[in-house]
Amino acid sequence: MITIGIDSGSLATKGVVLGDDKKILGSAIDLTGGRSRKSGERVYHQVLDRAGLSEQDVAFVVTTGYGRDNLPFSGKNVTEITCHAAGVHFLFPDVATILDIGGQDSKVIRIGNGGRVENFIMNDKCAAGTGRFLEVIAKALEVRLEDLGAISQQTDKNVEISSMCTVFAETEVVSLVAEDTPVPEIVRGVHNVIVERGEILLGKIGLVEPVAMSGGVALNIGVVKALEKRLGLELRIAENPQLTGALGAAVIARNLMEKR
Amino acid sequence: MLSDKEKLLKKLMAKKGFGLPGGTAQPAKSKRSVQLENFMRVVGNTGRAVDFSLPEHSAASTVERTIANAGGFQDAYLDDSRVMFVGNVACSEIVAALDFVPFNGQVLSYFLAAAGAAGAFLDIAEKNHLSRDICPVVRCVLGAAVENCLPTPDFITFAYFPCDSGARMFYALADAYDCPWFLLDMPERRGNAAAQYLAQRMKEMVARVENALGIEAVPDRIAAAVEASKETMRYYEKLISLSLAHQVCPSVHKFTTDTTTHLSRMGSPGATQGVRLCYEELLDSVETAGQIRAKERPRVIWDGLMPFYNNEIIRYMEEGCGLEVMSNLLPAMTQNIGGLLAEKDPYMYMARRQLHFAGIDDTKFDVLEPYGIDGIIRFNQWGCRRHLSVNQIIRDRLTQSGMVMLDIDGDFIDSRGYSFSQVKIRIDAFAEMLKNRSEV
Repeated sequence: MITIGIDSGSLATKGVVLGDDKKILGSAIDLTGGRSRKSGERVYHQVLDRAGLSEQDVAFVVTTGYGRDNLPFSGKNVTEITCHAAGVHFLFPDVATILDIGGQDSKVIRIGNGGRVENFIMNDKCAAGTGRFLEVIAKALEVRLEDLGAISQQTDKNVEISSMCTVFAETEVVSLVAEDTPVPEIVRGVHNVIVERGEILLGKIGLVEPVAMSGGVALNIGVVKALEKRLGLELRIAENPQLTGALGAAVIARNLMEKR
Repeated sequence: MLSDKEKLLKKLMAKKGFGLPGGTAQPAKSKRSVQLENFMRVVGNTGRAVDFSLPEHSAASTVERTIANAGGFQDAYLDDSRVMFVGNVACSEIVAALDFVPFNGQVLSYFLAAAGAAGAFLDIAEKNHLSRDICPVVRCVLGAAVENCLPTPDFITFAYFPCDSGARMFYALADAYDCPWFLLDMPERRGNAAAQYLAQRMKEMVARVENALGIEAVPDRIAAAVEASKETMRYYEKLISLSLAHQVCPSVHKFTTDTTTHLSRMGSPGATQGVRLCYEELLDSVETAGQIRAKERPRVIWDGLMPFYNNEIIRYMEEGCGLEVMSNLLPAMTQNIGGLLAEKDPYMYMARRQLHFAGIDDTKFDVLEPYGIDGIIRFNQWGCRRHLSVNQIIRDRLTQSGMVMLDIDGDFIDSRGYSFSQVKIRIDAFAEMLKNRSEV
């Protein structure tokens, strides 16, 4: 049975094809841009191509993410909270807590038996501590978003970024650059803001180990290391943490078909 | 020569915490008929003002019309009315006994939001340096005051419950209108000692009104107001019994507006009529359904106020997500009404009735089991410290009993502080979680 999960996120659209033996047959990530429906369709066909399949081979598609309601091939849409729980449980069955930091929100999910969501909390109306925050800062520093993690590892020092607001933090970063503060120190300071936010969010639900991290920000080695140090634990992170939601959607699609 | 509006504006802006330092203009004296004209002009500009009390609005339900009448807003604009500005903690039986028309700015702002007219007053407030992070009720009421749209009060009574920003607003209004006032110090917890303390404060309030206005609180009038209030509480008791027995709840949107309105009119026949109609509506729905319903869907308490300008979230929860939603005010009303009705001393009755709403954050826990509640949705007024400060306490307590909570940030008056798309993902996930939990 072939199932597909498509995660139409605020920054990126992700897709996963799950095969008969529960192996990932294909995956894709593309920028969402201004039209989530178009990027969703594009990723859907990309994953089919990569898996060497056609639409007729697919038993069921579950969509998730902010654009989940708007995809014509969707058999069912499920929130990313449920999908991240299913995806992480598929990869790490013993994980009890997930910290997911995506493009425009961050969330903590407590998982129960069978990957069921026991509880969750999302950040409030603020982009601080999310992928968007890093994107803005990377632009202000004139470095690539994907290089932030490595840059932060070039020093042990960090400056304190006092602003909680993304816009004000950007202004602060620009001022620090003007004062010739080394970029790696600024990046570490920015990572600390995300780590503090994540720690507070984890505290609200209650941290139960093992803890996994998912979402695009989990690709940033600087944030991951700083979080692990702060929390005093080792985070479980998928090979491609951006795909966890799409994978979970494909897993849910499979479970639904098995129940039929 | 300053106009009435200019005088009010100067005085309001002079009040610390609400604007720029100003002069010492003389108190404004204005005909209430002019103030009503001002009010209708500002509201009328929005094009969506609805006066439910008018017969042509027959589409509005009886309850809605009754709420509007129970609010008594139009009576407050009569020149011969004796008007008291009150908050939601109003000791309304005394207000009724002393023949005042209560004018509750908080409830007025709910109605304005529901009519799509709050924005006009919020804009006025903002143009007069009341920033958006101030409570929208305060902005709405002070915006109306700046435009000289409120009826000149004869007396002002307020409390630090539920919050101090409301009290600050009343201090500003008392200064602006140069009006006698009384701060009713209401304890935040229940119990006999708290009731005795509050009863004493209420006696002081009566003395203050008598002294300031040269009127007398006739004991018979207080007894009559207390009896009217008890009659209202009897209908609440019947409503709750019916609700518990049949596991049904009044509509959250109506019940919240309704209850907050009636609570500032307790002791008047209008409040009794409103609650009786609320009970009769529920009775009708129970009789139509014909039998006690089994719980078919996850059931949640809507905790806090709601966006009054639309019912989108609750409707989506009920129709889009398949949840049953009940108001948190219902649990607050379930607190030992029988004991309250047995109270003989009028001041102790009034104090105990008022204290029903002290510790409202705790009352929800009492009904989790009887109503088979699966979770709580807390609607936090954006930036409201009172709401936000207790969030984690409630979450922790619920978690201990295996219950879950979703908190939503928004604004119940100012539609600019609300976005459905931001709320939807949270509600969808919460509903999915509740359904998955109930399947196991």
